Amino acid sequence: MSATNTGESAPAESTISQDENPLDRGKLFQTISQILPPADDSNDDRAALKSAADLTMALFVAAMVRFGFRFLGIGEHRTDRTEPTEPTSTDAAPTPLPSDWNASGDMFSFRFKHSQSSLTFLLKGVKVGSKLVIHGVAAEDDNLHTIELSLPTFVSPSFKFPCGRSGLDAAFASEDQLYAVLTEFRVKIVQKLIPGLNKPGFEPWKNQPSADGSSSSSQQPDRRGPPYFHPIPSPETNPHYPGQQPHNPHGEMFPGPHRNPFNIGDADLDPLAASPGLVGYPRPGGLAGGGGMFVGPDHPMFGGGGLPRPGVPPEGLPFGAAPPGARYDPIGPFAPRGGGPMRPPGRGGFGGPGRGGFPGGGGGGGFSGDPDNDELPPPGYNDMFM
Amino acid sequence: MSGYDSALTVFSPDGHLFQVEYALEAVRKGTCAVGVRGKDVVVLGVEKKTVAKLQDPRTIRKITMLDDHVCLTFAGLQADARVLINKARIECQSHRLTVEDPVSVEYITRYIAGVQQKYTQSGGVRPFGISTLIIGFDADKVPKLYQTDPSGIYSSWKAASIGRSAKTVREFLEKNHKDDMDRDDTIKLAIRSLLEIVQTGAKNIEIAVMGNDSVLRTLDASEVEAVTALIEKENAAEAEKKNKKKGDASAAAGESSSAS
Repeated sequence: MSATNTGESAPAESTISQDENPLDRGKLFQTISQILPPADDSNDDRAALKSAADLTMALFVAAMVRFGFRFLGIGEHRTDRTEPTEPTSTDAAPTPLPSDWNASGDMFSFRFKHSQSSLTFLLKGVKVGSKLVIHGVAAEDDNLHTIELSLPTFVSPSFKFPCGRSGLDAAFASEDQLYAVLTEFRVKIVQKLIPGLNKPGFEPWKNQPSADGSSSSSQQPDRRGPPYFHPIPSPETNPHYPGQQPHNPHGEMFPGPHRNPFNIGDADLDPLAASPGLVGYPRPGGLAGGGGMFVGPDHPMFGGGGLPRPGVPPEGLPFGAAPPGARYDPIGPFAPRGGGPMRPPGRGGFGGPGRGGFPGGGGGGGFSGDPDNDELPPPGYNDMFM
Repeated sequence: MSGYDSALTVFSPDGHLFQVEYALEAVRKGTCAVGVRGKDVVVLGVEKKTVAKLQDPRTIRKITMLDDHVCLTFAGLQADARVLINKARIECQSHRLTVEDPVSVEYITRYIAGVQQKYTQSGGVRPFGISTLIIGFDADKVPKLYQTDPSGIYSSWKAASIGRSAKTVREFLEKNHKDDMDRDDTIKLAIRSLLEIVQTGAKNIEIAVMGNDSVLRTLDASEVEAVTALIEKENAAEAEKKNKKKGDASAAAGESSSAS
């Protein structure tokens, strides 16, 4: 990346090193405190941020600054910053926001320039109830980019506003949430505004952040080195986990319970598969879960969901009568289930290992009290007539 | 299941006792039995079921005596028939004991029909699944033939049929029955009517004949076969005669057409 850097952005490297993440948490909070308006008589520093919306918008503005945008002014036309002839000072000391940047309380509007683009960028935030909607648009371009987030879940409800510029670490509900929102902001707005943004440490993210070295975690803020898997991949950014995402320290090598059922035997590659609980994610149904080399009539690849749900009792019992995970032998006779011909009795007791007792999927339950009319009558059945 | 056939004594709205009608279905499942009255003879003919190879055929009886001069055959549920026959035999003996006279055929028929009717009007029972043909001679030396049904109906006939394909046999009998037939003709008519529906021929036909001496005689298989052979011969002659007639007619038609 640095090889393609232009001379304009070269001074930025004095403050942002080559492979440093522009959204590094510590630096981001530092930038927030830099861009907040300086304290004076009319502006109490302890009330620099009046609400969660203020905090969130300051966060995004700081992120923009960290990405190399220069703040021009609030609104669409107002100029709060004299355009410098030399753009070199942007990163060294970002222009503080004017003191009335959060005057309206629910409407925020910022204008930016970027050294790698001739366009003017508008970033607007609208607080709608508990939601904050962020719009980004390049003024000469008509494409509007929008994200929305829920403030009560993003900002810690126990954090008291107004607040000053220090101690913002505790303001956000969780590190993961902060990370996810910044990722979304970056992918859906910044990269859309400047698709070819050329910034040290900035590699355009596809919707797959797990292989990106910039996703450093809070525990290791200065971590550098090879890419590693983020502990909790987002469900929507990592297609490998369509459902709930289990804690999986193996990365992608050993798939979780939501794997493709047609991968017969892939669980046999997992040396820890035989000891559930060690690994962290539960393996419902044991061998019948579909991961092993056994392919029985209840295998998930045949559909119908062969596994009895824990806590749901077999047919004919009231809900709650069966403790979760309990196994039951069939209790009959039952009316034949819909679809499928009745089976001769005797078939019903068959079930795969680790199953709840009922032959699922296939068809009839096989425990009907009625005679099987497809069966031929026994010899001599007509002998009573004469 | 409409609910009107679960309890026997409940009429359906259109006046049917469904269980009685189902009993008639049981009758239609039984093998065919015919009875033919002659001038001074009465004949019962039945379609015998082929007995199993190791089964004793003498224990499979479709024609039974009720008294010395009264004989009964049935179609339908064999076990029901046994019970009913037992009741009838007891009544015969009871009648002898009480009035010192043998039962008349009509009397025992009425008694049997009465028992059958009782079982259509009581709780907790089901009707007898049989129809019966009762033959016999009273002191008047006149041959008698009666039929009873599961409903309790009884009626007198010159020739009657019950059981499987009874309708076909009855139509045959209606076409071929003549009054005052002698013994051989009566036997022949009974066998001919059964041959209408018994595919396997003589070996599955059993014939019992009662003359005006009130002695029942069951024909041997050889006798039945002889009659069957005679019937086949007559049938063949009849067919040949028909063919000849047809041939003559067609020949005559051909001559006339060539002449013209």
